[in-house]
Amino acid sequence: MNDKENYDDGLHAMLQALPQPEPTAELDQAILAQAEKELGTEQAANDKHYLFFKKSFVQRHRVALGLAATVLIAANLVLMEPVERPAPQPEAAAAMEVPLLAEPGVARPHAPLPEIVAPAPAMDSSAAPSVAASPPEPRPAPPARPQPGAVAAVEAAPAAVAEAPPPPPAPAAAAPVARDEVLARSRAAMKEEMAKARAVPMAQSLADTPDAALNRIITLEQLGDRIALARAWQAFRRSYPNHPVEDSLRARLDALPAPPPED
Amino acid sequence: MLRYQAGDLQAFRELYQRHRLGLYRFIAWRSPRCDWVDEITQDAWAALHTARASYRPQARFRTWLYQIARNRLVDLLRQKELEAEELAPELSDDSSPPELLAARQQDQLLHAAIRALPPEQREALVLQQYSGLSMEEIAEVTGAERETVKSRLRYAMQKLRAALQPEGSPS
Repeated sequence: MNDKENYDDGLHAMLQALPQPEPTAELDQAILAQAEKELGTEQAANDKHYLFFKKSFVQRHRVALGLAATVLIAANLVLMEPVERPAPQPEAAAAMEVPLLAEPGVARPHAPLPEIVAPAPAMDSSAAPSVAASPPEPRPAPPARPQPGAVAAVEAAPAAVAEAPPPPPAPAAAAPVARDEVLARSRAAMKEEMAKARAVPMAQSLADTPDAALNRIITLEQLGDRIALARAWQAFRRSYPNHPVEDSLRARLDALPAPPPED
Repeated sequence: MLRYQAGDLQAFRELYQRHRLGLYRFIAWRSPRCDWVDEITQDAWAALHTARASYRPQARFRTWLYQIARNRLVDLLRQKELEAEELAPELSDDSSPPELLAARQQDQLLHAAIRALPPEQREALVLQQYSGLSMEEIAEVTGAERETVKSRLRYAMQKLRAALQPEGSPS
């Protein structure tokens, strides 16, 4: 028996002709209205949910965001403070003064120079004071009488300075550790530069450009070697009479006593 | 259906227009009282709306819709403490044109014969004749085997033919 055997054509026609109930228009409207209401409610809920997240993203996290921003700013300020503070500490500034012209009766014609670039040539490197220590004692005055080995002594001194280990870092009681490290590195670099400058013979230094010669003169001034400084200054004036020199530096160099004649 | 599942109201309108007649007739033939049909129909569509999130594209929408309506119908009839087959309402009294019923006594006989069918046979017959479902769909909706549905339809047609035969005529 196949499916079609179930159908009697006449009975099937009668079944199809049998009037069937249909949903009324009111029922259709009610069902559609109900669906519209529920879908609209869901849509509104979704929109509200979306707007809640969209609008409240900053508002809901504003406290956390504010705290985070505060922490970031505070941390940034704390970390940047040693770098942004240009003025040295008072005790450090006092320690930086250098007795360039230590002879009694001779006024210091310039502002104090950093101590880190002015170690005494005859000073024992093992006893180098720290930056924050008490001010260095005045270097013994050079002999007034010319000595034959003066130049040799001057040229031998830088070697001792170059071999001297860098001074121990300053105590961190008054300044942050970061600044101490920066000062220590600067001091070491400056000493190395000074050693290089003093290791160069004067004739060679004068054979360089006037700026290089002037830099070496400045280095000698910082080292306090007044005889070598006076000789270098005279040689510089002879070699570069028209080269501009800073007035204060020129005044200090002109005030130097005449160096003893070289051998 | 997928658009309706996503909340598209227009998609629901299309689905409703496509299935409103078949589902309404199915519920009307299953409902023990005519004044319950609208309520059950509306509740069945509401149940569809609630259950639409669980719809899977693998299922045929029509069978899924009729399953929801059928389950909802059973639940409502249980709530009303009535059995669907216990009452035989005059289905066409309210919804069919009176003049048509008066004119066609044969329709009344056929209507009464359908009402007199066992519930499973009547359900299969209505789903096939008035809701347009295939045997496979009927089997899926009712949870019966295809051969069982086929047998129910065969017996239903035999009973209808017998009911419509004039008394004394050979079957």
